[in-house]
Amino acid sequence: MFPGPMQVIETLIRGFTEGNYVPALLNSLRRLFIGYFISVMLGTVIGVLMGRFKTLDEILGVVILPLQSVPSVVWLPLALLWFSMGESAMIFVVVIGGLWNMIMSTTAGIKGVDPVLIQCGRNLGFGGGKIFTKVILPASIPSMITGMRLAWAFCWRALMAAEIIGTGQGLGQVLMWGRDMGNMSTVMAVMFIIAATGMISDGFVFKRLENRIYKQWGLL
Amino acid sequence: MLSIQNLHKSFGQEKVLEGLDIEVNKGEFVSVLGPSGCGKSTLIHMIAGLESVSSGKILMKDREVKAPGTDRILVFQSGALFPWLNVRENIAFGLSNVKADKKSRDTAGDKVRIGKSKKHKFTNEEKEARVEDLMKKVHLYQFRDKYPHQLSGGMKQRVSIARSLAMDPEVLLMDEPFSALDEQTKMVLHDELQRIWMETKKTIVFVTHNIREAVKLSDRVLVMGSHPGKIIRDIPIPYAHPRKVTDPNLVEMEKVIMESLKDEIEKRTKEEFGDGYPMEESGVFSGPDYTMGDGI
Repeated sequence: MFPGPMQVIETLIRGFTEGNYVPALLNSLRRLFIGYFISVMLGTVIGVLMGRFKTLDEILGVVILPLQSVPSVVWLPLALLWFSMGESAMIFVVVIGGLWNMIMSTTAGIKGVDPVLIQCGRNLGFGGGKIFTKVILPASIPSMITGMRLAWAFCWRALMAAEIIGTGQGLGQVLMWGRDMGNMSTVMAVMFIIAATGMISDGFVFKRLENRIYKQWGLL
Repeated sequence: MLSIQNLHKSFGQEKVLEGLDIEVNKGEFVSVLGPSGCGKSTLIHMIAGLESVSSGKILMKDREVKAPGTDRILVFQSGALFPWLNVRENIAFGLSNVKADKKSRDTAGDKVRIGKSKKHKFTNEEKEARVEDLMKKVHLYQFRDKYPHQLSGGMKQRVSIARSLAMDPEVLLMDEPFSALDEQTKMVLHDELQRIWMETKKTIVFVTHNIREAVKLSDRVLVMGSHPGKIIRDIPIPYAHPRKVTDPNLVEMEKVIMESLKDEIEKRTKEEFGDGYPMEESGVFSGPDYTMGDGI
């Protein structure tokens, strides 16, 4: 019941050349990108508003913390009901997956801006609104990048969980198909693809970007 | 120019500043010298309008200071550069909030049409011209495209000074701008600031705890005592600029100031060490050279 490495490699090669791994991966990535994009946009907007308006922060802050501890796939039954099965339900789960982290990082970034920079902006003649757009927002970029990185990781996990339960043609479904066939080397091969995709995107895109930004902002 | 009348400041129950009266004349370089915690930073933040006044008045050209204004620009202790902007952009940051005058139009050369009203918003050419001019003045022209994290501490502080000068303020306020720098860099920047001051004839209020720095740069040194903060002496430094720190006259002035701080240091030492500390033997008053010169 535990496939050897050679068997997994063979399954991987065959899956990519003859099988349905490529369309499955592309399908998953498409859902991921759409969900992630919405998640980051929505998270940034809500996070900025919460950073800006204290009352909103106090109200939503109370809700977000418990919501964050709910694994996003738990939303799938509700989402399937709301969005009548399929694609949108899965994207909804992906959005929820990254949303809380994006909101919290954005809010934390805005609240954590060095007060000297704000004083400096006021000193140079800027008023409230301009201080926000010209000082506070750019100063909170590092924290937002961290939020984006975490959101990416969480969206990816959420998508895989959703695909395993839900329908369609993604990596998760290939994995489940492998399970149903009792084909553990397929299961392992898909796990390998999931890990590799996550690692490559994090290591080559997000970690690098984050390092660069943190260095420039003098936070490293 | 700048007039401070019976100024008080308290944070809750704690009195920080008590009954300050200060007059600063146009073109004057005035240092406010005092030990850490005497309220000198609070004072300069109040002049900048970044801190509220508890009672008393700060008048800038007979108008009461209530909020930040581009006639008073503060150079922060930390430099406070914006890390997402390069040297050029940092210096130009506040320019949209001030009006250009004829002088800057002249430096922009032929690119700008003449015949506009006397004061107008900066055009892009004028902005560029002024920023370029200032980058040359602080010797950072070759670093114009660098970001703050690529600069040394001294360079950052020069950018900060240039950014403040770009606003062409009536009064330049400086809050211990060199205190985080090493001794060599500090000396270079003293000369640089002195030169800039002599060229621009700016009125400067300079907060420091470094006696040597105060004596070298200023026309007048206001010595502050603490708990609560007040001006205990107003000492003119009547020597011509530019000055050298090795000038025996200045060394003499340092001694005078050290002497005027004697009570203050004794008070603080007692507060911090208790009565048992052997004041006279410790060498605190053996002259500034003995204590490496400057800190209090």
